[in-house]
Amino acid sequence: MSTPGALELRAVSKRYGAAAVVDDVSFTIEAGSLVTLLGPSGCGKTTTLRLIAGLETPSAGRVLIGGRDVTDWAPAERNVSLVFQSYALFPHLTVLDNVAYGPRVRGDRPAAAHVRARATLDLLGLTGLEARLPAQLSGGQQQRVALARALVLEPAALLFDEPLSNLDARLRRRVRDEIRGLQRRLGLSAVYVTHDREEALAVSDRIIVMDGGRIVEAGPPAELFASPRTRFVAEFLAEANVVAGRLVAVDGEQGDVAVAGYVVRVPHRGHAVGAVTVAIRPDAVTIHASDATGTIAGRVSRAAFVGRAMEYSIETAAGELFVVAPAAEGALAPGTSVSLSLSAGGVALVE
Amino acid sequence: MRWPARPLAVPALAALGAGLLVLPWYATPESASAPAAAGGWLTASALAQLLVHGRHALGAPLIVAAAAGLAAGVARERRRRALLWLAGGLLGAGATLLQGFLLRQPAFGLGAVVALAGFVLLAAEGLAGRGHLRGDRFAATCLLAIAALVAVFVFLPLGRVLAAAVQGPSGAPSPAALASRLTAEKIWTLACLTSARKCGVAWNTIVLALSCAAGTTLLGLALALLVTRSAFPFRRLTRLLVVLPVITPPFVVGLGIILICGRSGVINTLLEAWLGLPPTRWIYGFSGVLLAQLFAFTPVAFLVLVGVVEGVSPTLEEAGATLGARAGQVFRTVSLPLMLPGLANAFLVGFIESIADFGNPLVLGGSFTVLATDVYFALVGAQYDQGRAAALAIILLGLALGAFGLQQRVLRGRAYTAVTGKGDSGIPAALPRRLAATIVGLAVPWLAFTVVIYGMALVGGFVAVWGRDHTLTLRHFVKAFGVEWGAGGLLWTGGAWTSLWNTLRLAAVAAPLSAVVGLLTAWLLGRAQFAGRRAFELGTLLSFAVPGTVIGVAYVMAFNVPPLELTGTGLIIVVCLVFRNMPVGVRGGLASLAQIDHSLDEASSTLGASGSTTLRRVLLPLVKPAVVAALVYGFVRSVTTVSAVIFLVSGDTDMATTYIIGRVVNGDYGVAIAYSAVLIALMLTAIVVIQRLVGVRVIGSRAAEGAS
Repeated sequence: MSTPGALELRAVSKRYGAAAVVDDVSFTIEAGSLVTLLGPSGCGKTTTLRLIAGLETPSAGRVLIGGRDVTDWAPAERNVSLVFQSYALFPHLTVLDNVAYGPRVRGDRPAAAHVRARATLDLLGLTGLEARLPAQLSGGQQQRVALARALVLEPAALLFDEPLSNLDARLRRRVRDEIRGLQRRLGLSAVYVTHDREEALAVSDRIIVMDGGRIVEAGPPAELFASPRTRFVAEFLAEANVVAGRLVAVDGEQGDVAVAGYVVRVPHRGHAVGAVTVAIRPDAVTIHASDATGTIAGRVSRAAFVGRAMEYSIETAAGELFVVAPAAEGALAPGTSVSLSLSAGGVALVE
Repeated sequence: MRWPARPLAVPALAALGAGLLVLPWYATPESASAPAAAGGWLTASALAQLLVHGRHALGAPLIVAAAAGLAAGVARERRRRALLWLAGGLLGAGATLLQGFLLRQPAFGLGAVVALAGFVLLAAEGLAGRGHLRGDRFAATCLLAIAALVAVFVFLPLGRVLAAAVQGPSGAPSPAALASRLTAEKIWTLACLTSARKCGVAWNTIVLALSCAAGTTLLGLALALLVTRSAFPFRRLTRLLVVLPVITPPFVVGLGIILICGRSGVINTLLEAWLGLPPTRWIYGFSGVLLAQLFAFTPVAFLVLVGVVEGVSPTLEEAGATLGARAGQVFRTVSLPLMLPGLANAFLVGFIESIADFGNPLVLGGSFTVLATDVYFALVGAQYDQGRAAALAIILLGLALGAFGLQQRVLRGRAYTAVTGKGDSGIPAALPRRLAATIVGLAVPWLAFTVVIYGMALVGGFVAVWGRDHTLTLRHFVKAFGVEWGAGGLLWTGGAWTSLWNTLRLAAVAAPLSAVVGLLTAWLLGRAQFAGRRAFELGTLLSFAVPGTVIGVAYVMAFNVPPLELTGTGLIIVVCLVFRNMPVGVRGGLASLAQIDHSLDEASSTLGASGSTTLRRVLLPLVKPAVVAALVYGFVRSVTTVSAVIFLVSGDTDMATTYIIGRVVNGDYGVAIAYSAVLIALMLTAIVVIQRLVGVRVIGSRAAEGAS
């Protein structure tokens, strides 16, 4: 029953007493796309997901699934499945019975439910584990059983609540790619909640960044990453440095922005000539050892080796800048004087 | 894909149709020989009562039901229809009850009950349809049904007690009558302090309860320390002895004490034989009752305090010790303050148990009366004074609720022994030597005497006449449980059979019901979100705090007259047992559910399971121990309770405990003791059987490892 706009939230709010956990949130999710709700903990992203699933009742606004208003419907009546952070596998049921649970409680006969469950387990490469209990599975296997259990019902929308947070770092990347592959292959509509920006960037068709119960900004990952409109998104999604700058000249869509005397040409986005706020991604800063002209002068105040890269804090006239440089270029000791240049691709004007 | 969403509107309207249009609205007297003329109009439905017999008040529920039925057809929009149903259900139930209580008419019958159920279902459909309780119809039905039942079977009876206490001589409510009853000199006099006259029954109760609470707390603490913190050799036996009072009728201890200290008891007999002292009745009175209560209720305090003592983190005591405190100082400055809230709780539990105790004061009180027994005599004895019984019940209830309220506050503030989640690997500090000696000095006599009392209660049944003729005999058992092979086959000639079968029958009905109601309530409290949750919790736990005698009086007053006429039936006993024992299921269920992650039920509901399916397929299998506990407790309490049912039994529905009390009051100790022993044996059997039937929880990993 996938129609354009598989899922829609209209001005949904959730309040506990005076505190709004979700505040006037509206968005639409196109059929077959994966949308991520990204934000720091407490930003309301999980509550939003639970409002979609029907596990919370909105204080205001409507929830539509497949074009129908389901705001007052019980979770069981909505055609969505949720993959829980803790997986929530039933500890007393085998893998097969866990996956067959949905079809069973919706009226399938045991044999038919098992056939559907086996097919889904097969799809996820879990054949052979049918008789195990959840406690006998590894973390990655439990995760996939949880996914199978959600998928078996062929829901109108699949909801993920931080599905990777209980996996170790290496497994996380693999499962992440599996989820994305499966979602594309089956053309599923999905809402994915995470606080991990890398995860969000890797899996999403669209990212909705939330803070304080509100949507801050939404868009395709590359666009949000490269040219955030808000200071919050620049800092949260790209760990960008936000500094004061000056728009000195405007030329069509582009404008010349001066940061500590260094001029870089970026889209002006309607800003007038004058003081502006500039977001500079840490990878957009190039460090020159020599004292080149037309650069920003700085002094390394902290340096950390994190493997593939060096992370520096550099004191400049624009304030302290966080800079990431390839480790292959060698390490600079704290106290070293440097000069910096900026790549236009990593600089954006924000509000 | 479609899935079944089963609206309740259809069964609700069906029930309303049957209840209002078809089934006889009023109860027909059980005596089938009632004149046909009277029976003729009694069997009519509500509609017929309205149209043919002119009972216009019945128009109200009929109109509401018709309106609700129409609403289903007219209102297309889901939310509006739900609102209409909710309003219709509540209005209909309200109208039905209101006209029932306001107008003189025969008792509600099948039709009225079915119609009321229909209105509740309708309201539940509306509640769920409005999106409350996450739109779960099952939860909505449970919530409304339990709330309605608690209102009718807990609050309504208590309200009737109040009404009876307020009723003036003319029949009209009179605050003056209430005031004079509540402040009666007989209840509050302090004459015993200044003269030889007796003090008021309220002071008797309070002094006894305070003494009992202090004594049981002290003994309970000693036992708890002994079991958890010492190398005392009989620790297992101690834990075992503690279970005994839970499965025995409360007056067995009193009986045992009579056999030892009574007029023809062991002590008096020995004193007479050796020193020539004439036997006395010194045990009857305050000291005897207190002694019995100390033995009966110390185990309760022990159970409370074992948890408290174990909850004191050894790390804290070790910290105290490393800072240079000696063992005695550590106990006094660290351990004891940490236990203080727990001790306060144990004290209040002892207080509540003591004021609610009916069996021991009845058996051992002599002329010393307490509120619980006075309530009984005011209603059952020659005085038959409803107003006085009600006033006494209110004072008793006030004391109980006061202590209960304090206890809730103590429990709420109990933050000291909170589980931190960090492993505490320390070793509990050894007890200071002098304290250890005191504990052993307190605990050992208690343990020894407990063994003797229960021993007596078992042996006494095999002795011809206690104190005079100690020949061994089975004649008490024959008298109570004799079976003969007569002309018509097996003849149950023993006098106790009727009461035993009654007890088992009623307990077998009440135990599963109280477990179901209790666990459903726990499920609602633990899992559902709804307005008024706190009030709902207090309401359901309240019946636990109400002393049995108060409930007994209240039931007699509330259910002796239409519209809810239940006295003399087995049903009223079952209802009483269910609502008295339900809070244990609530507490146990809440504790078990708290250990189960909410995401399990949420997963189940997003997968399409209704609330009832989730409960049955996911939660119940995981909380089996709580189910067993609720069943066992419900059964055992149903069999052993005296205080409430003694008001409710009739010739047809005599219970084991009331039969035994009857024998004791007549001085027929042999049969009473024999019967008690049989009951104890039965309880043990029942516990084993229930545990076998329900099975123990299969915990995933461990059981599976064993299997694979």
